[in-house]
Amino acid sequence: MADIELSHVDKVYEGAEAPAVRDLSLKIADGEFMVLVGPSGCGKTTALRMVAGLEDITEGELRIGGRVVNDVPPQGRNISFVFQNYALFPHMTVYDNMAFGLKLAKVDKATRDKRVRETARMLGLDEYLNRKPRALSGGQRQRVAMGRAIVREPQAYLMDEPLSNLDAKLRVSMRAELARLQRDLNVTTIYVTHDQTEAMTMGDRIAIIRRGQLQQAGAPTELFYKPKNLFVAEFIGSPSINLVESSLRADGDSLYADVAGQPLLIDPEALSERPALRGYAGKRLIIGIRPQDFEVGVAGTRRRGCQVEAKVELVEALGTETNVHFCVNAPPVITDEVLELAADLGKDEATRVERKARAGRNEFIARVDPKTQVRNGDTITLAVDTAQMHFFDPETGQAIR
Amino acid sequence: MTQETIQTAAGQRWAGRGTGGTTRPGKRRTGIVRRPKIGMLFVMPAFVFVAVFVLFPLGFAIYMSLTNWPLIGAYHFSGVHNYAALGKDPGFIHSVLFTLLYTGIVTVPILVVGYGLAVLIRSNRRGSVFLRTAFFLPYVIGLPTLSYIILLELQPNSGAVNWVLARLHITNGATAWLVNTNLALAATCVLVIWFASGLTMVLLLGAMQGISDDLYESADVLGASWWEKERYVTLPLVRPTIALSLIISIIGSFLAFNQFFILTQGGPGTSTFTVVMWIYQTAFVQLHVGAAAAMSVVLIAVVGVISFVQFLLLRSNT
Repeated sequence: MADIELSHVDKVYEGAEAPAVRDLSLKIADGEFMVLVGPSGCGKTTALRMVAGLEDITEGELRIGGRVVNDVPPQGRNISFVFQNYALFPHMTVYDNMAFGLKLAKVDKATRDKRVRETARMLGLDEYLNRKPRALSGGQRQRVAMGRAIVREPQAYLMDEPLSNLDAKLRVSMRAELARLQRDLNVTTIYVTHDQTEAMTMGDRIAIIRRGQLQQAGAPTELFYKPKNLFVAEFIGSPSINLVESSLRADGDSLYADVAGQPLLIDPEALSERPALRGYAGKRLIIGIRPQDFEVGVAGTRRRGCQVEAKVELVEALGTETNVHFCVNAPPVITDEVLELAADLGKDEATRVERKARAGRNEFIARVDPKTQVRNGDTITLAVDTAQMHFFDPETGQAIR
Repeated sequence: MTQETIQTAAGQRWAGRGTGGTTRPGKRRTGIVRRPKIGMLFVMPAFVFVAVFVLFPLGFAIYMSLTNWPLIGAYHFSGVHNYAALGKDPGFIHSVLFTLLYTGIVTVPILVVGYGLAVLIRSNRRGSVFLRTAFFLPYVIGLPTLSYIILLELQPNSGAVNWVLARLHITNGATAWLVNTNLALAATCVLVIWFASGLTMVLLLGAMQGISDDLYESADVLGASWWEKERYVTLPLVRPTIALSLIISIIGSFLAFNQFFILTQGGPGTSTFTVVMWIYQTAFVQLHVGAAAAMSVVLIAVVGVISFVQFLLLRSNT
């Protein structure tokens, strides 16, 4: 086991305009589960492959267990890599696939056998040991890939979207299983995914990468509650954060944010945590409100300046929660970040955002108590937890602190 | 936006579509329509071609093999006489043994050289396209042309081979390559290996390029050396293609004709007569067309059996 440290690592592909990874510094502690997450093509897989030794490092330094390994080939790094499509050897049985690494390491046959069988039992693969990969289901193949990584008892696991080829239901159960397995084995792990839910549920820490650059690294709750910029705020959370352009108005010691013509009193505590906010009085800024920070007007939360009127356009009752869609009377916030994340979700989402932008419609989602009786077309009062509001500079996208 | 909301939105879209356009059971189209007559029409051109150029000549050869067919003039039916006589024809027996010897010599080198060349050019290194072309060129040029080139270059006083060997002080430069059985066989084998390894190379290259890079990266991370990757990943995965190229080169050797006909004409004496040359000799020099037809039928049967075995092997592999 070992810690992994990237310092100021760059990756520039020959002939590429921009570097695939730019000045990436990240320290993964021994036994830590670190998730690299970001939209497609952001450089997260490249970063992982550099750690594995499958890509050269253009600039910077990589240490595994304190040793600089920039020039050490993958064979000498003692790490396990789990590939997105598993990369199982099709001509070998499950047993041989798992034993292959040990065989190459010249581990004697008896030890090899013992370790393969132990690992197989742990993963529930005992009865498939004599099967070839093509005779296995997707989930079983995924386990074999995991088994092949585990059985070698490496210094670190590197996983490249290992669950993305599974169907949604299996992905959820494998997610939990894999996270538990990592905790039990306590081996340093770097896990690449583009699925923020996976990142949030699995990682000890998450590193969000955009265009080859680290945006923020931290515990899932830290990223959720204290995003450093618009991109992180927009990326983390589902449904994603509601954004609206606003201006601040000072009234004595209090600050009011104008949200679509309705003044919202900024929580004094939030204000004292963000001294820079006062400097934005009278200026434009972007406000972010998480869907769960709304509440359908309940007695006690109805404080002055903490509520908005909303005409319900759509109610999604999901059982465990209810999402209420409503429009606010303000232009939508269309920044590079928003467009980039929409494009990452596919063409449909990108065109939807563009259409919204052209129509000047800003649609909010509030996640409310599922027991609430809200119907399409209702006009409701929503209380906003202004202590949880996020503020961003419209030019830089940085959070205002 | 998040994936969850998109999924929900998509779900609603589908639900909306479902109520609008229900399927009408009566108008459902079935996937496969069985119309044998139309199918036969499509097969017809190919069938006619095969019938005229394969089936008819094959049937005719079998018919001839059962007669004492001279090239011109009357003939009569002689039953299996031609087949029985094969065992008593020393020329035929010698040609069979010689063909087997020749096949035994060239088969493994063709595979090994072809494999080596494929390994050499499979990476996209600079110059690999040039090398690929260069190595495959002999096969494209064709064996008769190559044979004539070699025939010229093997000439004792004018050919390049003796000149080079003499310059390297290996021989005195006066070797008469094609009048000595062993030297002639050796020269022909080198020629054929040069010619045929290009095809093996192309076949194996295709198979090697079909192996996903992931498998090699996976082996890298697991600690495999170059040699271990070759042995445990490449070799097992190209095994079916190795079998295929072996069969192709064995059948090619069994049917050897051009190289010996051009280089040695079967000589010295009849020492380098292959089976096909002996069939030619029997049919068009000795004019025993019936006997030659019988030899051909036997040869076709042997090649057929080899192909069938290969078919079975490859099928059980996949």
